[in-house]
Order: sequence, then structure tokens, then C-alpha cells
Amino acid sequence: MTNEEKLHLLEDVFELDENTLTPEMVLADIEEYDSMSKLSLIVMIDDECHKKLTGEQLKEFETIQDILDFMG
Amino acid sequence: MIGKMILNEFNGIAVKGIACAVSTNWVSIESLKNGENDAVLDKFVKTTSVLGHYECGPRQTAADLAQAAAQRIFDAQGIDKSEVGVLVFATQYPDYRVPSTACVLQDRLGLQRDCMAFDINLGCSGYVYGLNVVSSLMQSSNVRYGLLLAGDTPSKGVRSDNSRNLFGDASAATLLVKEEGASPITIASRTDGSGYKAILRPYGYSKHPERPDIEGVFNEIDVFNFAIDEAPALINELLAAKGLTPGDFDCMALHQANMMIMKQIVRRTHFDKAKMLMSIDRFANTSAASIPLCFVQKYGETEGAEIVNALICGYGVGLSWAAGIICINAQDVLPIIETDEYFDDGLFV
Repeated sequence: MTNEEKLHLLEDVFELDENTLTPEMVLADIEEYDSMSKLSLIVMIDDECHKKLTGEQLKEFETIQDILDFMG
Repeated sequence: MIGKMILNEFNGIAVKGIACAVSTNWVSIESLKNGENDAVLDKFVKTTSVLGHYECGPRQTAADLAQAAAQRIFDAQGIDKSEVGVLVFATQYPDYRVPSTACVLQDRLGLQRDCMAFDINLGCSGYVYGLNVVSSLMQSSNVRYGLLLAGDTPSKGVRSDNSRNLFGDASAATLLVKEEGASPITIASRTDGSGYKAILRPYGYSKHPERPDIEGVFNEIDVFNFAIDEAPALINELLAAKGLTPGDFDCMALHQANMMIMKQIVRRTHFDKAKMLMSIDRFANTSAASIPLCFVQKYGETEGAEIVNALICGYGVGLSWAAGIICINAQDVLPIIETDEYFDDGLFV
């Protein structure tokens, strides 16, 4: 999966318009990154990347790039 | 530790009646909007499907609701109460520290002394565990009727805005009867105590008697991961063990945790979405009462006989989870009861 494809998946999860996310964005500054969208993120990463995202792992994410790296 | 899946099977025990009771006070999410929180609440409704919840009055408890539900079944079925020999109340909001609320309800419901009565301290899995315990005690005894009560009043606990909106008060009663030729009841159960901190109310009891005004812990992410993995896995194993497929069922009644979890369980068990029953929209997450509330929402107004093969699954605090196969007749499911009545024990000041 390319970075662009991954960003589009994340935009879907956060219900943002296309091309609004960039890798360097800080998660704490993204209003849509709330507890409910974290649950959607778990499902998406499970479906698309076949990886289990734990609560511990979520806490370590600081930027969009961190999520992209985890997605692999 | 992974072992052999525990399966309990009962032949000759039938579900004879299901009733649920709530207070008359329905709090809609819409009514909580104040101009500043509208977007947050809209998103809450969209992701959880909760439109509102019922809250008991200050003196009304889960036991009062359970009593009303049980009494309605007795009235509707016209059964001889002296033959009720098992009374189990699955609750995490007992009336007292001691004794078991079920003991008090044995008297309040006018049941005979030849009756086993006790509480089970389980939440979201409490209904399925309760069915298992009541059926087990009936199968191994000369008891004709068993009564399972299940309910909680989360509004009595200390709560944040989010948990206030997500949880509702309700109790259910389910009457079981020995009946030759009844469809089998099959239940699979599991526990993982290593996850006990995911949902924890540690204060105000024996280990931490201090700080009873703190809400406790609800680790949403861990609970979510647990629910979407373990509930479908157990359901799939249960179906495989019995040689059944989703097509063999008329409906699926899941614990109503939140819509995102329920959708994932449906998807991962390959059930038809149209078979998933709902009670979370009107009643929110009602803990042990959520599964019977699904039946009441769907079949409470049904008048003719209609045999319903149901897959049920409760999962949550413990961590504890169980899945079951039961058969109900829609005409034994009674309409929802709204009541303000409460029991006066003579100790109110």
C-alpha cells in the first residue's frame, strides 16, 4: 500500500475530506481523532493491514506518520 | 491458558416468559444538547446508535424493576408461584452490601421457602451465565420453575457525561420451566481475569474503602478489542461444535455494548445483519438486561405463536463472556413495562 492510499484510508476513518491529512500532522491537533474514531482505526487496520492495534500502541502514536509506519 | 470450550446443554427446559421493566423517566440525547455540545452528541448518536436511556428515581433500584418484570410474567402466565424453586438475580447494583438481593426478592415476590435464591455478580455476560446457572439447578433438582432476574442501574454510580449517555437502567425477568420435548438450550462460557482492570470500580468496598466518589476505570480500547475478537470467536466455536450455521437462526441478540462492536461481531460471525436485534437505540447499554430487552423490543407486542431460534451472546466486565442457543415463543415475550414503583423497606430517612 502506498502512503497516499494509507492516508486516504485514514481520512475515511476520521471522516475528513480527501487530501486533508499529511504525515507530519500531530494527532493531538486533529479534532476528529477522538475515542470513537480510534475504534474505527482499530477496525480499519485489522481489515486492511491484518494487524492488531492495542491500547498501549495507540498511546504511543504522536503523528500521522506514526500510524502510517504501524500500518507497514 | 487455552483449554477445552465449556459447553452446557439442557434438554427439557423451556423459556416460558420474558419481561423487562424500566422507569418512566426517559432521557433523550436530543434533550441534552445545549448549543455547545451538539456536534459531540450527534457523533455519539451516530457511532453508538443510542438515542436515549431510562434512569431510575432516587429510591428505585434494579430490584424494583426486576420485581415488576417477574410479577408481570406470573400474572400473564398464571403459574403457581409455589413451584418456583430457583431465583437468581444477576446484578452489579444490589440493594445492599449484604444480603443477596435475591433473598429479599424471594419474600417480596411471595415465593415459597423451598426456593434457592442468590445473586450473581456479573454484568454484560450476566444474562447468559444466569440462564446457565438456573437451568443447571433445575436439571439436577425436582424444581419445576426457575426465575432468572437480570438488571442494573448504572445511574446510581458516579459517572462522566459519556458513560451517563452510554448506559441505561433496566431489569429483566425470564421464567424457565421443565417441559418435555423442549428445544435444547446450549451455552458456552469463558473468563479472562487477566483483563479485570479494563472495567473496574475498585473504590468503596473492601480492598479500597476510600474514595467512593471516583467513577472507576473503563478502558474503552481494551474492551473494544476484547469484544470484537473474543465474542465472535466463541460464537463461531459454539456453532461449529453444534454443527449449526447462521442460517439456522431467526435472530441474534447480542449484548448491546455499542453499535460499532455489535456490527463487528455480526460481520465476524457471518450473520445476516437483518437478524441482529436492537435495544441500544431506546435503552442504551443496559448491562445484563440488554439481551432480553432485545427480545422485548422485537417481540413484545407479538400476539400469535411464533417460534424463534435465537443466538445470544453477552461479553464484558470480568472479563467474562458467554454465548448461547435458545428457543423462545414470541407470544411469551411481554411488552415493556414502565413503572415508578419502589419497595419501602422501612429504612428510608
